[in-house]
Amino acid sequence: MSVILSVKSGTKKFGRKLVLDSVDIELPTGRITGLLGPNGAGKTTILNTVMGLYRLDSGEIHICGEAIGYKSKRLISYLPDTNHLFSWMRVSDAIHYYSDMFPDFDAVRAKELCTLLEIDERSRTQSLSKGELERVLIMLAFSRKVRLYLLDEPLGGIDPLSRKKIIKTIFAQLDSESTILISTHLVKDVETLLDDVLFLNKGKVIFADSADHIREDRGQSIEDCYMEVFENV
Amino acid sequence: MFKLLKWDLINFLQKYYLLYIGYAIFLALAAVFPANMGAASTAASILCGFFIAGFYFLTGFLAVTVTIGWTRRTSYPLAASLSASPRKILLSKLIMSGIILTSSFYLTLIYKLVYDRLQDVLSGSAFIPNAGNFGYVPAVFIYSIIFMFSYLAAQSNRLTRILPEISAIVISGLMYDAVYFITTGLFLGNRIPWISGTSVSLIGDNLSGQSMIYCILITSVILVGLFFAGCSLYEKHFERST
Repeated sequence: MSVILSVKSGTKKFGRKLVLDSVDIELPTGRITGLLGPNGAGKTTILNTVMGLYRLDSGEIHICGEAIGYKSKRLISYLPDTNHLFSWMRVSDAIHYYSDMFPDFDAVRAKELCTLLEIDERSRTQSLSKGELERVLIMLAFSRKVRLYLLDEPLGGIDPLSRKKIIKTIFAQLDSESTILISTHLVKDVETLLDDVLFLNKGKVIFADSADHIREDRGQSIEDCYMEVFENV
Repeated sequence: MFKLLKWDLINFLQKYYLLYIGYAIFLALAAVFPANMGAASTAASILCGFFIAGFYFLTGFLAVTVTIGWTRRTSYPLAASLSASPRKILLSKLIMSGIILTSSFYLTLIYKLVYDRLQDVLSGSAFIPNAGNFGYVPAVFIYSIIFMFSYLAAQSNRLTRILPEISAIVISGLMYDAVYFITTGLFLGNRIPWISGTSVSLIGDNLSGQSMIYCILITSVILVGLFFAGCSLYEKHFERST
């Protein structure tokens, strides 16, 4: 298995506050990894740094062996935790935009996902509910064929029915060539999805293991393991 | 590049289409009310005068802010996820700035032609741009490039990132003056301001054709240099404030 994302000794400060403290991450292909931790642990900062929105003070990030830069962005599909679409856009405009701007965007796949996720393409993105918007963003992110999918809180505030559909979509997207990194504090919601977990606290990776190992050898669910690790911090 | 520009243009028009609809309405108003129709003409003239003055200054402001406004919006993560080179992205913003300024020039000119028919009833209380004011187009465009660089520089440094807008205004003010002094003082050695306030004077009594070429060349080199320096900052150091 080749490595898709590699973060080495990633350190980042905002002012005097240390938000990433020598973070080391390696994500192999064909895996779904959960970046789990409480609010303010540094999850979004890691994703934003991989996207180049923030710069590391020290350390290195490589995507498929390439140092991050504008060229490496072609390998990443990013779903931020906010609505990043232009405020005037309808869903159809967003599809058109992605179609124009991302050469790997598959318009046919987008139509299929719209049907599967029950998205009305004529809807204005500003008027969508949280769950509807999240489904639109998932549709856009997964209509691209890339190596690395970065999902920031994709299930936050979503009703169980939408959650089920989104999880189904995430599962369907994974193949041996790509990797999905999901950042969330809703551990129970992503329990069934994950192959690997990284627990992040105060900018440090405090625990990393495979989901199978946690379930079989430790005899715990990921949520139980999460509770145990964080209670002992 | 063309797709970037296409979406920048669509995005701009979606946001500011009311400004252009307003322009069309006030243009129609100026055309419909002929001169010497009494109070109606005077009222229309004053209203139109205020609107076009606002239009003139607002488009100038938008031409400058369009170069950096996209980094401040909630849609920035979308723009930042594109795998386009910084050179293409920033060039597209500068072209947008040029489009806004040029359209402003022609639209204000058209308005002026229509409005001149009503000039004799103008109360004189509202500002109406005349041909002398159109020199602001190259001056504002030059300032747009300098401001874009200044903002990118401000957002690329930990200290200035705390107050990026103010830092950018200060840096761009200093740089605009520096460009002025380099072009006039160093190369021309004349007393005629090359960039004067909000307008540009290219022709002066004691400017030879050769020194004018030097002046344009050196300014172009400085601006191109600032553009590429801005691209490098955006690629390697730029970070939006948290």
